[in-house]
Amino acid sequence: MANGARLSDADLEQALVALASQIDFPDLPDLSPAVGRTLREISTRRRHPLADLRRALRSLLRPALLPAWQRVAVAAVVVVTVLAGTLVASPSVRRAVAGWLGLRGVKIESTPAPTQSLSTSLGGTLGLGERMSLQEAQSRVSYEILLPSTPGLGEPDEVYLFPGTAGDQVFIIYRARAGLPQALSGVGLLLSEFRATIDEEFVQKKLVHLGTVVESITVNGGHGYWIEGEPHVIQLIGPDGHPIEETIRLAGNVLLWEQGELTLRIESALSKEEAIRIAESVG
Amino acid sequence: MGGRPLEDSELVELARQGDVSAYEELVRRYQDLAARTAYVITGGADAQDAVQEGFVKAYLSLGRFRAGAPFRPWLMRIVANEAINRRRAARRHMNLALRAAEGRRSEGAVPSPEAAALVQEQSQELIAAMAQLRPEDRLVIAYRYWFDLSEAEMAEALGCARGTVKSRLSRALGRLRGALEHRRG
Repeated sequence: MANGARLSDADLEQALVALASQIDFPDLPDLSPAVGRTLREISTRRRHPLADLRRALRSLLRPALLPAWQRVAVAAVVVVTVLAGTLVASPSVRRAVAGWLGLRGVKIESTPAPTQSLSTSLGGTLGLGERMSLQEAQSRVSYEILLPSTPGLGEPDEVYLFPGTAGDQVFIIYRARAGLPQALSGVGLLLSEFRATIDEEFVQKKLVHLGTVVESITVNGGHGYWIEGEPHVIQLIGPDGHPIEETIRLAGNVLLWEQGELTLRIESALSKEEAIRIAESVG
Repeated sequence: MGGRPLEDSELVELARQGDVSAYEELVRRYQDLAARTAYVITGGADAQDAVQEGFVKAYLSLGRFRAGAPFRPWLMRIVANEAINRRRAARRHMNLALRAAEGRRSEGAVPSPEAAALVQEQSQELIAAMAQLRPEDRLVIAYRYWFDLSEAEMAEALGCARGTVKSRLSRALGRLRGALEHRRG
């Protein structure tokens, strides 16, 4: 292959197959504990803590996962957990209990009261990146962060910087309040800003296929869309021309529009008219 | 532990209902394949981050996963996207590595040192040409020849229609051939 005539298709295919066993693919550690920890952190704060406990109990007692004696034992431990939360709050006790039952990897833990997590952080539940002041976020991105000036909305409650895969993204949270209904866990409105453009093909073909209602709109002279029906994902085009998939964080409607070099997105439980009114004050 | 292992579809359904333990089982099942997929794109240190973030994103996107669809290629697509985006952000040149020659054992007869050296040289040349391709081309080649995906799985993992898998593969092979020939001058 190294020299001489042009390779036949069959030779090339054979060489590629042979190459597979020679590539030094990395041996990664088991990532499931880290992934699980992240997901539990997200889901614990999204839901009432008792819902997690019930879910944990249900999943632990599934016959496929545990023999009968362990199911009884786990049920007992969970009940004890509920009755004596202070005892189980100690990590070493939790580890010991899980160890006795042979439940390595299963975490039995007390969860913070929802009011506590709400008062400390609204967006910590949503995977928005690092929380910081608006000034700090501004100092770290290369574009001007735009804010709405709608009367009554006030200053942002929280600002996050998501270390972007194709550039940094800023998330701005406004707490739910009178006139701004709650979309998720105390959050009334999530505004995100990103140097990107809208992937028109994705919006017009795939989003519509996914059962969402998509309406073309104009905001501040920029082209955009009102997307209704709880879309789970949208796609933008990054500065390098490649698509970027974006997970919608709140269960609500999405207003997406281009303004200058940015694509902005409002996620909220607001009506189209209300969302556009706020978007038009952004500048 | 008694009972049969749960099917992917059962684990996905549990995970959709918020059962993180079920999802952790899916992570254990597919993390090696996910790591290889990411490695084909990033070739280096970012692979683990891409895999971890890909698994988290996939969980958060389970709401849009079609019930009954195969989980494996869907996950690979998310991990691959994550890896592609990370690689672009890092602006690093990708670099696939071969195992050290002495660490490999080919099937059958043990080759002479000269033959082993020749194989190693050819492999180096081929992998260097692979590294010059766009990530999308590397992926389609890896899916077919390294991970042995079916055409249907490739379509799902690449996010394209099944009818275009063959033409994509053929174009990628053409570019690989071009890169090889260019290297040889």
